[in-house]
Amino acid sequence: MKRLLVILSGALIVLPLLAQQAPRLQFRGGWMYSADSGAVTGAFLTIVNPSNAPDTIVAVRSACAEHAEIHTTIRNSDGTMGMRPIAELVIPAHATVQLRPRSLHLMLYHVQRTLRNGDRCTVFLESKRSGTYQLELVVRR
Amino acid sequence: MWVRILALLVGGLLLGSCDGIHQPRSSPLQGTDGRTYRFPSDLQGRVVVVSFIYTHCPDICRMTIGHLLDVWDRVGKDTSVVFATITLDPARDTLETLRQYAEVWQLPPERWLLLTGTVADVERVHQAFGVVARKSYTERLPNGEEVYFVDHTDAVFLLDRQGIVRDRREGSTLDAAAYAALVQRYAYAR
Ligand SMILES: [Cu+2]
Repeated sequence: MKRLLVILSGALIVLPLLAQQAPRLQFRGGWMYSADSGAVTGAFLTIVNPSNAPDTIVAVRSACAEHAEIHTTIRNSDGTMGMRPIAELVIPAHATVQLRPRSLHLMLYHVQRTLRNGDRCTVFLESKRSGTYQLELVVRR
Repeated sequence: MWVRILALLVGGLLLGSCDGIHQPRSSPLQGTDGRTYRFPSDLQGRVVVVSFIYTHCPDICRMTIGHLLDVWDRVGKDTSVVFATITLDPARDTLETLRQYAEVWQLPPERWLLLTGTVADVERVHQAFGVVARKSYTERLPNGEEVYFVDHTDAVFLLDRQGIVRDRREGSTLDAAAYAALVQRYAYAR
């Protein structure tokens, strides 16, 4: 019995630690369109949340652009297409969110150097729950 | 030989049955080749793939250009085909901006024109094609700069040698193989 208690209390101590180290967000297939120095461009990637709790991307930055935002592509009732910034992007528990053309993108303003096919650019995604992620995106096309 | 003639006849019937004859009114535009065009009438005699983009567009327009490059790979050798890309944002898209854009995208300079002009002339061309482009949303960047977004029609048009619109479809979802076949059909129809 005493031994069982020890095991149980041990388990109780371990569990909160495990909870703190919840599976972090995972990222796949990050890429961006080529761009001239000073221009704008769009970046795309897939975000996977394997954990039991939702997480939220609250800010984005890039090492190769002056300013970055999360944008969503919209279709108006007259059929025209446009984009709007969104303040944050929720990644629900056990969900995959794709930033892909015609849907969601990272908008990079004032690209600081010419980005051509095969170049790389670092992007930082800050999440509400699991810290900041640094990702290398490949320039495509 | 007969098969080809028959194919052209049938094709002609099918194409003829498209929505009514529409020849867009022309306005003067400047091309990235340094010339001024009455667009689109100055390109008559050739089959013209017309698209509308703006360089601050990171998504829809780039998809369109990407698909059109795939079309170009299939039909670009045909000197009777011209690609013409008109800005949706003449206030920001100067000739120089369009030239840089063409360079980044490696658009073939010989027969792929990017065109801009005065706001009034570019808007007249939009109207002639039934294309909408409107400033929709403005925000201030941390550096104080004000930027605007453009809500716009997502469409490409195919003009035959007489300058008549023969096809209009969404650009960002373009099926390059199918579209190239359509362009070729009009290029053959001399
Ligand atoms: Cu955007």
